[in-house]
Amino acid sequence: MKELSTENVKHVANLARLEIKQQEEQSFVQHMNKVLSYVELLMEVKTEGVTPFFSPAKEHLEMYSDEQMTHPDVTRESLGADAILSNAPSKHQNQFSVEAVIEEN
Amino acid sequence: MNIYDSHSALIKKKISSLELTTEALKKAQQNKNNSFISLTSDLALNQARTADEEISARGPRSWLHGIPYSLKDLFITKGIRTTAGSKILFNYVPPYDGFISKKISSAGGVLMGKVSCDEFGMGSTNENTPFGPVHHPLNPEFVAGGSSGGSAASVAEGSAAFSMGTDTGGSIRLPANFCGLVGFKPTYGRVSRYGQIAYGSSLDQAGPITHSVLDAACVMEFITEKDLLDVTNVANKKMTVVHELEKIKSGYLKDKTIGFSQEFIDACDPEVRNSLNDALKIFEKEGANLKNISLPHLKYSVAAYYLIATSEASTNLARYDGIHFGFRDKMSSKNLEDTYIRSRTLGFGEEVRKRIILGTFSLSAGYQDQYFAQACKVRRKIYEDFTTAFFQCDAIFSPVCASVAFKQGESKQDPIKMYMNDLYTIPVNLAGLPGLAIPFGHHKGLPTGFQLIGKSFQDEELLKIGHAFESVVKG
Amino acid sequence: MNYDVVIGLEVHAQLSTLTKAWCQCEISVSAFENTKVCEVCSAQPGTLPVYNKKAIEYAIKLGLATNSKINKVSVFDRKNYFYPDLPKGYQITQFQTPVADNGHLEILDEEGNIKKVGIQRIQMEEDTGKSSHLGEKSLINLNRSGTPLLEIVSEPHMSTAKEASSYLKKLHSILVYLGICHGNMQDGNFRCDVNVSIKPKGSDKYGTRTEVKNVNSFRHVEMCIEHEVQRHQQILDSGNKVLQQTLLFDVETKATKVLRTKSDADDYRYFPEPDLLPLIISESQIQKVQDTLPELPDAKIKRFILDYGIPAYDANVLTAEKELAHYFEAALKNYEGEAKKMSNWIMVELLRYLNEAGTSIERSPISPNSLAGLLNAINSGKISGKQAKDVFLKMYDSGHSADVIIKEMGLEQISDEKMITEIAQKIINANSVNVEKYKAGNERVFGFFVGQVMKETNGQANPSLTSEIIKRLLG
Repeated sequence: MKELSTENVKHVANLARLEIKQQEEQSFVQHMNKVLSYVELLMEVKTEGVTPFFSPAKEHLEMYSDEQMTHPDVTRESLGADAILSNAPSKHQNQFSVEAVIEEN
Repeated sequence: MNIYDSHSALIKKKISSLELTTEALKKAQQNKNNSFISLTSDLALNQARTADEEISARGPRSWLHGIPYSLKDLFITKGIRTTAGSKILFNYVPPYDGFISKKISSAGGVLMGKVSCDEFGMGSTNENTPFGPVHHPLNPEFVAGGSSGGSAASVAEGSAAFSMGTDTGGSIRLPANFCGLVGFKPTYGRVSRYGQIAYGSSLDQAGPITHSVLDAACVMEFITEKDLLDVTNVANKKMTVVHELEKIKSGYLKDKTIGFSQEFIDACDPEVRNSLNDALKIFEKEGANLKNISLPHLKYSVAAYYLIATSEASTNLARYDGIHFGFRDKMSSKNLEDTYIRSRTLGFGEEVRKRIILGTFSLSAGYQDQYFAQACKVRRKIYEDFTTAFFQCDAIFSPVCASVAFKQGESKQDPIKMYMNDLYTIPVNLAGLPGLAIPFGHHKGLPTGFQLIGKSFQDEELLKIGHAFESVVKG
Repeated sequence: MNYDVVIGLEVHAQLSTLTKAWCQCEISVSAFENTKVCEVCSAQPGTLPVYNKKAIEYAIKLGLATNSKINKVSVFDRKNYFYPDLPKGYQITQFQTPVADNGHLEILDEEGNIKKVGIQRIQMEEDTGKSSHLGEKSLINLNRSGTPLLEIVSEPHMSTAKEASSYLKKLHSILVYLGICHGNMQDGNFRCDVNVSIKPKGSDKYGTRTEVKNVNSFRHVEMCIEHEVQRHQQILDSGNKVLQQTLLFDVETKATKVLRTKSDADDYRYFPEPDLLPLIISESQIQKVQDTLPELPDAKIKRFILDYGIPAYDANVLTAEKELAHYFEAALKNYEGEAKKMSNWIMVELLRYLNEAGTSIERSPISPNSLAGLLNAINSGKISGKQAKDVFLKMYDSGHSADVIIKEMGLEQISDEKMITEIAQKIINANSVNVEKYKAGNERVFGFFVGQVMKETNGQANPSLTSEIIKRLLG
């Protein structure tokens, strides 16, 4: 596969709400390309007809029962606004506060 | 200071919890290995005093009653700062208690503090942290291993009799191996992940780092109860294996079949190789059958892991947004997007950011099939290799790492080389199997050891085999 | 240029469970901000989702009620995007395998014929928190975060605004009938996204569609469809292309405005939720739910037409709300006349006053029994149809029964033959001139006699009986 450009990597970073500073560009882009080149190894493996393995739990469904995967429809006390907001970087009268969401016009 | 012997001493009133705790506190306060992020001295002393009262009145209620321990800072502790080894949670104080914290606390353990780790569990050297690297207990210039480096160092240095770590690709087993300790990662689903800060959801499991397999079993008895807050946690699999282990003598190994691959052993550095071969000889001497097995897809493990773990992590870490909790840059942002980007870019360390970007790419439209999905398919091949191998043996013997502990700063050079430290531990997480790191031998002052891999949900058997081996060696 | 209109609708229905989708926080519309929130629904580090048993049952209910196939295995996925009201940074939803699909419901099209509108899928997911504006800031309240939703996606089978609103009304009534959704659109229990596209008449290539989000009333749905169709037509007629956009409907201007243009920021990177196991729904589970299904609108309509002999139009109106249908049948219980008459009174009179006052049928000041009483009084001749309207009004205002009001107003119609005959005879005897006129062939003067009897009895004489008697007496 062709190498990712700095622009490509920055675009992906942005999807994850991360910024790559100029002085880090080389390190980040190199890392990406090194790893992506290394994982090409995986393409060697013949996987036609192989179902993906997403989690060991999903492969052992016999170990799990319905009752223990669900919660009853019975309310439990919530933590309270103080506790919920206790680590909020910015709050206003019991709500989290952040710069307003911009909508296109 | 280990659990089992300390427990006997407490029963016999030869020692008190306060004495154990005071000793441990001295080491913790010295912090010569930089193990601790948050020390909980007052709490520890209170818990020790309470334990002594309770033990005095009714005897210890569990193996862990009155015993000092530490928790990797990925475990949520209500009211006690939990950082995940990251700047982004530098001042985070959880409003709820996690499963591990609750269980060990109710068993009567004495919490020494929260110990260091690679940020969000991402790393194998405990150098990826704003809190400074954790030093190898035997040589401060060397790494303790990661990501549960703080856990291993605190047990090795004596500031805790045991520590709880987490393991996604080897993060319990590798530091245990580097520091000459036992590290146990249970079968996926044996221990609730509620209150364990998530890295790779389908890979993570909590487990103990201890001085012996018997100690590890003592801890496992308290953390294998079904937790209704984790759907992936199995029920009816509470471990009660210590009494069985107590009865085991070396004869247990007779006629057990231990699978191994000479290829893996030969690929290790000479000092590790020697130790592995010696260990195998002991198994043989005790009457175990050694069987050659192959795990043909093992060589793809690191590649598969790095796509799967980072993909899961990229979404698990999306909640660190500077809005609901955690770090937000003091400088005011122009707009919402800016808040997100600044908080996350400044809050997360370099390795974490790199892995998030890799994971995001791996899941993105147009690439998911080739990367994430392909990795999951290869994961199935690796799992099938183990299933096949386990038709022929009771446990698989392998290295933990091809080398012993190395100097700090070395791993930064080549990311792939660093990732390869986990070559033998990763496949165990991919397949969801139990893995036990057992120390054996030394080389030039640095510990060596090996890994035993067990069958799914047969953790008890694995612990028995491991304990039997230790009994032989300890004589 | 003539165009075909293609309309697809996505409805998000909030389930009326007591607790949220993944945790046991109470769902409450009126609670103070952030007071119905726990560590799970605020996405604290280390938390995990657990299925809500009732929500699953409700999903199966809806699937059965819409003739959908219930998928025995359905999987949950993470839908990843950043938004302040989505604390995890991803929504747990069902992308690949919804809980039910391939259903349909029936509506009446413009000509009054039954039209099947397909339901592509019904998927389980969770609601976000709520954000509000305060100057340049957004404030986030997570009380709503984690509320279970069913997303119901229709096939693009509708071609007019009226068909769209009929579909929505039918779907809404089914949800309320099943008791799985409160259906209060003001509270956001039932939210519609409208997808509109047009294509040249007869063409089989779909045009570009635009999506109008969160339209909160049936009337607005009709209005925004009409607006969009016109807008698309204008664009295409002038040789331009319709842009794929997400829009909002502005109630003031009755026009749509752009929220965002589609970009790859919409890459949600869906992948299976590792913290949840696949939902397995057994045949017996489905049967259990099937057994508890109430009679649904369509079945009720058919039964009303058959059993009560009322026309389809009436049946549709009376079954639009479960409570209204219930009211109708309760009223029929103690009523001795034609069902159609009852239907008319309810549709024309009762609903008029209720709608004007904004009162729901459950709060109707006239109970079903009372209404039955009124209609019985008309039938038995106690009062006339004209008087009934006045009585009705007084019943509505006071809440009293018909009998009480009739007595109060002294309206008891006189149907006592003997009494009327006496009075009539008196009048005939006193008006011999008019008697002669009548006998001479003057028909009009008959009315004089009737009128006089009415005057004598304060209008309470039964008119038809009076006429009969006078005729007889006059010979």
